[in-house]
Amino acid sequence: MNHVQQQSDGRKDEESALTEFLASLMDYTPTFPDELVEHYMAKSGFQCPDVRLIRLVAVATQKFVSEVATDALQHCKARQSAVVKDKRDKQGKDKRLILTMEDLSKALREYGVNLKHPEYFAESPSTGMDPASRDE
Amino acid sequence: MEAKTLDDRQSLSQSQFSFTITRVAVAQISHSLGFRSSQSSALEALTRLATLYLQTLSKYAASRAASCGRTRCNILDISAALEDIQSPLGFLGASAFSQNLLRSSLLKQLRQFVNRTRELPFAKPIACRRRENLAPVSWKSDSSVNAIRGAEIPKWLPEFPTVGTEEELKIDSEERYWERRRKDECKAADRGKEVETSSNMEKEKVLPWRRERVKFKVGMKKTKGNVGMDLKSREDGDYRGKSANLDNRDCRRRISELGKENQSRGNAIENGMWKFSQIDHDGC
Repeated sequence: MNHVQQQSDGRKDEESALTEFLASLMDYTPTFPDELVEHYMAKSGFQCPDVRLIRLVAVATQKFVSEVATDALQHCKARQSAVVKDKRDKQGKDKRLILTMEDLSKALREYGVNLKHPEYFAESPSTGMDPASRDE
Repeated sequence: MEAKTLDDRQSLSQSQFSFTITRVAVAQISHSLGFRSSQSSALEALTRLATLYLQTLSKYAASRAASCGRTRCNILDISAALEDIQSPLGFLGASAFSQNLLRSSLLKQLRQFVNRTRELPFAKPIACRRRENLAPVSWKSDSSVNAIRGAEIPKWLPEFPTVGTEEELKIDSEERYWERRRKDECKAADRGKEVETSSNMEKEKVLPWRRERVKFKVGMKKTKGNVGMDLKSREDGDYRGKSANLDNRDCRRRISELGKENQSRGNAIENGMWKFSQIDHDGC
């Protein structure tokens, strides 16, 4: 009897927490605007007049993009730290983090997305490389 | 420069416009995490990924709602859609099938994300095209009713039927609804008016709107010379069948005429001059 009461109390706490979370979404403005999310949802057949659910979907998308971008950032930092170890005189210039296709493809590989540049034929081996590495 | 930008913005299609806004939002998110710049191809790829994620999540939620017999989605649909998308990667509590969707760990993760992440609203207000400025969709060139509908409805779908009185819609008298015309005709018949057709110019008696109920039974007893209805030929001309309950004056008159015809045919058959193919099936 006590175990059942504890379970029901636990459910009520979680449901109240979820209700508060949905209410707090009205104060939290996601990066993706409500009109934009509503447009894509309408294209997919999602019908819901509740703004809280629209913001929930917007927050979920923002979270996904943030996770992918964070993983790409980690790859970018790891790549730059490996380069800086070899060239310490150029440490000041390489602090700028740039989102590249290389880092993004590595990050998306963990999510099961295959993002790859197509192969192309170049005139010389140094075509398309960074100017910093081209000086070698 | 500004005019050129304005023209470029107007020339953007709906999908391009939404994609551009999504790209700005994705760039904002990347900038907040620490990136100072981005390759255009990488930003486009991440933007495309965000739109696909958004559409996939909405599609899964709508599909689940439809499978439950609902047209509107709720939080259970969204929670199930989140679990469906996350299932290839796995999440806490994925093995518990009987767990309540409201207690999903993905919703808890979203709650933690909202609590720890700084609010980052969109950079600029979106210049939404108001629905009043949309071009009215109408299949008729001279339609006086402007049908305004959302951009998500394809243009090749017909417009909704207009709702309103005849005065509001300014419908021509020739285009009145059939029901209204029929109602007017019945009202005229109740008053006992005779309708003259313009072509024949003959008086046409219109049946009253409310008539008494007519009951009769069709019997297959074949008497001498009579086919079809069980009619007794009487000299007084009162041709009523055994089971006939005719109250309508017109039907009684027609039956009497039919009886006389049958009597004449019966005499012809007796004389051997009548052929079966010549029997007139025109009855009452």
